[in-house]
Amino acid sequence: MIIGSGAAGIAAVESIRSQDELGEIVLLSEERYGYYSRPGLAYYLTGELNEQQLFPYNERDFQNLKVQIYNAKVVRLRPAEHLIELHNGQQLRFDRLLIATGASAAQIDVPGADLQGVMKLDNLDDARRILSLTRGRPKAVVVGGGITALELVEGLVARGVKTHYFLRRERYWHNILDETEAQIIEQRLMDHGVQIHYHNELAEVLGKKGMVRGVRTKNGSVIDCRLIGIAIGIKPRKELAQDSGSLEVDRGILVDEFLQTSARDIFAAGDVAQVYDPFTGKSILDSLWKPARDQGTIAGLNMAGGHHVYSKPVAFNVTRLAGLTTTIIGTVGRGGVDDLVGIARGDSETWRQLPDAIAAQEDFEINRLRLMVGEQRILGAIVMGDQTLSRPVHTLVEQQVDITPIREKLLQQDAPIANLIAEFWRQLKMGHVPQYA
Amino acid sequence: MMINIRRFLHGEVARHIARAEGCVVPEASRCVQCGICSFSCPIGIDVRRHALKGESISESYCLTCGECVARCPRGTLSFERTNLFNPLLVPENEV
Repeated sequence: MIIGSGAAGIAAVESIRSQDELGEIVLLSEERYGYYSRPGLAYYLTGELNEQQLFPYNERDFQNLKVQIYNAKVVRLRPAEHLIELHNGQQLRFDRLLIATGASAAQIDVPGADLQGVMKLDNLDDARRILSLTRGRPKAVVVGGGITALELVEGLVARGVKTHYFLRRERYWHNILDETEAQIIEQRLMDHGVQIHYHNELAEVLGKKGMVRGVRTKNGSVIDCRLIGIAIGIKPRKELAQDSGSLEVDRGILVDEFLQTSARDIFAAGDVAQVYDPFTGKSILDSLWKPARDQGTIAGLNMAGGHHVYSKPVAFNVTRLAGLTTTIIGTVGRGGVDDLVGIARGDSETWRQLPDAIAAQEDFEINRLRLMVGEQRILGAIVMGDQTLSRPVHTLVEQQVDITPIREKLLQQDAPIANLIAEFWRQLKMGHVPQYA
Repeated sequence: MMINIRRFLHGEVARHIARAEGCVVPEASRCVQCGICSFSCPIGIDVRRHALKGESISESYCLTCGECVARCPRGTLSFERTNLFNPLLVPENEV
């Protein structure tokens, strides 16, 4: 039995079926639309694709997977009895259970936050509502410092909405991006008419007859708007586990390297799971698409009787920031999560670990490469714009390649780091770097 | 502005040959199944399905028009050269 029809849940169905042709698989989902690409919602907002396109699988795909899908809310979990209870009182028994309930957008705690027009971007219904609100081209305010906030800004701008963007700090995503990277993004937003308000926070949502009419900021100014987009982080949907009383829960549901919870036969994967990493000894949240799928796959294999370890890969995410394809690899940040409540969607806590590294960087017009250079290896990187070097750098970080032959050159002032990496990669592939020959 | 027609045509022909000899190859780890690639394919190839599995677009009728490559917001797709007679030149993730 699987609770949740997101990336982790569907990956688990696929991997269970790959091992067990006949076993009964039941998938329970609160999401009435079933499985769709949640990251794709950003592009649905901008108008780059239509709603139908968000659904990667058709009915036949699910028939082939021989999975029974029910639109239902699970209200109670009784681990010892291997039972779950649905909203309608029905009880269902499971042999093995995967909790893949994901995460939901954190609410903002200010007066007026419940007024109509205060929006989040969590699911397809949210995206639909935002689109219907943009039809009258209202003014909008967006609050939040991560990827989702920017997706909201971009979606609104694409729909012709005059948008104010509130940043609590002096720049966008300050704990991941450096000053130059943030400036590139902010300039591109401003070029599209976005008005950025630095060091600004929402104090109150102003309304009339239950509808948003504006905001009052913490520095006292009032901005007229009809739509407010909030993306200040996400919260793992761990209540089911928490309320059961017998599953260990921290910020998410704690799981071991086999993705098993503290209760027998119960697994967790995706945004809701706080996964133990044997290398660092820490349990961390990764709210990225790929880890969710990978975790779902491993959990599924283990539910089908396997004994597979989920080894946390180097954090890797590709996103688009103000139209620039950006890849974030490994450890790049400076710690802290000031603009967000906890973790954001499309975010990995690994990025924010403090690297013992020196940054080497190279700027082009709108292409940029920043490497976090450690003692012997590259610990992380941000590749903005041209992605040619993304794969080589990802491999260098992931495989912990010894970069001693080029380290000094990389750290020289104004070093052509892109060329150095490209040449090193070429030598490596040809077997000319001695230790990899 | 004067255009050197011969040079222009030569460039276009070279580009066309390069595309005809290549195919679209995905980097599965970048794909989030948003579907922009399939949405923008003029002949309706479900590019996303290939991308998820990390399979190159093997349909011989792919126009290699480049719409999916250009529109993918996450840089998942690229052109790689194929060579029917030299397996060493087949894209890495297909070997």
